Amino acid sequence: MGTTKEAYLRYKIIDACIINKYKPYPNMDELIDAVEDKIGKAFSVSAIQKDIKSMKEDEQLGFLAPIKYSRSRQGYYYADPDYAIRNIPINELDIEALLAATDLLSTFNGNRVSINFGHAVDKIIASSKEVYDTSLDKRAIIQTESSPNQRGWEHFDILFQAAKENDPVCFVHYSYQKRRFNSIVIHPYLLKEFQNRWYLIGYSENHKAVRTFGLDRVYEPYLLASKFYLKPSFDAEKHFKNVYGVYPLSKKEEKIIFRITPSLSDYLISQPIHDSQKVEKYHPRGSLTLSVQLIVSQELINFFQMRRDDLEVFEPKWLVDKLYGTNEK
Amino acid sequence: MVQMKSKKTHKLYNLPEHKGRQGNLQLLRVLSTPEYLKIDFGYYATGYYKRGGWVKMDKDTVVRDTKKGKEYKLIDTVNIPIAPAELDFNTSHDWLYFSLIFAPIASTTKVIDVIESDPGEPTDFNLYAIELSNPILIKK
Repeated sequence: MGTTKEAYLRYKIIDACIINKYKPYPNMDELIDAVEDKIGKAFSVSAIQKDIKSMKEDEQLGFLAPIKYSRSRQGYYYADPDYAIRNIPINELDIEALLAATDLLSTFNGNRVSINFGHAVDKIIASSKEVYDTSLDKRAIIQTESSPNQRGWEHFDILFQAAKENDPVCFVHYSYQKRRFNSIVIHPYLLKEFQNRWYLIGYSENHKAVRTFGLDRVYEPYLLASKFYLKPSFDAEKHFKNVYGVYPLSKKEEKIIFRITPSLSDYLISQPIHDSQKVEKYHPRGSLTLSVQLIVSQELINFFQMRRDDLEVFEPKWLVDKLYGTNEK
Repeated sequence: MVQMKSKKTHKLYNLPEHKGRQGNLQLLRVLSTPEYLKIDFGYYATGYYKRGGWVKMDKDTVVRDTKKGKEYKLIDTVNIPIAPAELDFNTSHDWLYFSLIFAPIASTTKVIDVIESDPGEPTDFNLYAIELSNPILIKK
């Protein structure tokens, strides 16, 4: 089991008490007081004793702190007077993990978040080890799909910052469908990726509603000094929970039933469209009837249309009519 | 008197009301700062020309205080060339986001015109009575 953030905080507090030159040999009560004071909740003697034991003995934790108890001083001390947790170097496994995380994040193609993370990792590693093996083998181990020179990607940082700091933004937007520009004032809530395209979701003052804008259609965003509006009912998880894609066409969740050929069945079974995907029926030669419970989106319609040779939708009727043009006029 | 160049002097006018050229030229935003006046436009090519035609700006384009008549010169453009250079579109489906940057206007200016050519042709980028009201302050 990994060590929690709170546990690390307790270790640091205990460490700070033990190395405090102005109040050496802290006793158990003083350690408990210090921890409770900083963290804001009660801890028992046995909890702090367990922490001390972990600091002394847990190899995975890596401190191996030389904590001893002095009977004469009735308090704790480090057998090595130069010892302190903050001096513990990170080990090779830690470095590998950090570098792997940097690799993964760097697939965002030079985004400032990933650049800053990379610098932070370098600083951590450099401050803890004089030399670390950066590996002569520089080949990439992780590669995700990313579109080079994606238009709008240059705005990712400012929009990320705006969403994080709760700053409204004004940007120019071009609608591919309407072939018109608009200047939007938005209160950004979420940056979402779907099929390698990035979208900004937020409350649009122009539309008086939560709206989605593709970053590839965004020009010159400005951070505004206005008050941020967080729509009380907006929940990012809920908003997209039952949507395939980013552009839902309604608010109503529906059961969508479709049949797929054997050649498509292996792919959709190994990577379902959605968590709600179920096999309704197995057909003798390998084709399947599946269902999903979703709000129909433009992306879902595109998905079905692109696979017309291998997929046929049966319900709901309005979707069948839309896909196959079976409306009677 | 020292002029405060705080963020409170960067005023954005979003989709301001105006008269004059419409259609495939859209006035989107006006940003007024102590250092410059920036006006953002959207333009989309039409089928009038097979490949969408071209765009360019006259170097003598000015912003004019509608009431007082004072003119402010064009000092720079972004994404649109100054004549005689021109930007040729590839197709009639193309579009362009561009900005014109002028000398800073007086803070008391409430209505402006953008005049590319006076009296101008229908293809000139002339816009009148642009209302600078309800500013939004920008952070940076």
